[in-house]
Amino acid sequence: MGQGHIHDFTPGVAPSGLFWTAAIPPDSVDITLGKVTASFRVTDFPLLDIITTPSPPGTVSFDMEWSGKTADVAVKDFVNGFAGEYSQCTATIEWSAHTANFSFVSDAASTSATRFAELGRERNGRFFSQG
Amino acid sequence: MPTAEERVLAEEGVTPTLGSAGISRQRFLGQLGASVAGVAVGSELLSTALGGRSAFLAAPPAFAAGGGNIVAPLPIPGGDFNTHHFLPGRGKEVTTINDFNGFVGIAQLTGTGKSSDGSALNFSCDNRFLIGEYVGEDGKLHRGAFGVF
Repeated sequence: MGQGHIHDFTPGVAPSGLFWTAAIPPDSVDITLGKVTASFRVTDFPLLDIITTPSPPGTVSFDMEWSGKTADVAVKDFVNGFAGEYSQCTATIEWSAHTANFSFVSDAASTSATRFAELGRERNGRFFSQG
Repeated sequence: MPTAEERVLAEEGVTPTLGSAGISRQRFLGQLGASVAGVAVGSELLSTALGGRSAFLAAPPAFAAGGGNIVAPLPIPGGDFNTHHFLPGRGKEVTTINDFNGFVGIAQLTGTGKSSDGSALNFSCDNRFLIGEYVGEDGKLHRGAFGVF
């Protein structure tokens, strides 16, 4: 964020190599593929601010929305072993973050800009090889 | 009124079941959050679930015994710069979980805001959700919801 990368909120990388991934409350996502709409909301979700060492614990809250299909994309990638059917679209986010010594509140969701967004179905690994 | 998850499954022509009793995906996923001790998935059912699109979410859930923690998924192999994930982009894999079959959303966004001292800051984010079935590090089939931050 800002001039230089001064904060970065993530779950970190698991010993297995699982990258920036954490279980979320299942009701935090609402998706309607047919309409190409979805929301992803979390409140006070625990993450680490990994820019500093040691990484202080923090919490993040956000409200993300997907809508407005711009293209359909189907992928079958035999090199990387996955397939998917996606709808590219636009998205917005309004969010905040807090640690013991820092907090951030974004401007309104309507001011965020989409660089890339999509919704879809995807399968890989055993599901790809057998599907 | 059906839940969003039920509407998605209805679009796919899938009726998820738990054993012989019907159970909505919303209710099932709610159990994940409620830390319910688990039901292991037999190999026959696993192979059935892996066998085709119509079996999506047809297998019962498996949870970690005791603590109620969700069984950890395994990372995708490779990825950009061998980081076990791909940067956002058209035609790129969204999930970071291997042996995964489900619904995904990704948004790479930029914007502005303020810190607690009043400083104006820019932000960028790459947030994703992954909802579906996966083979966990225990080798068994599970269902779960994950965020990538």
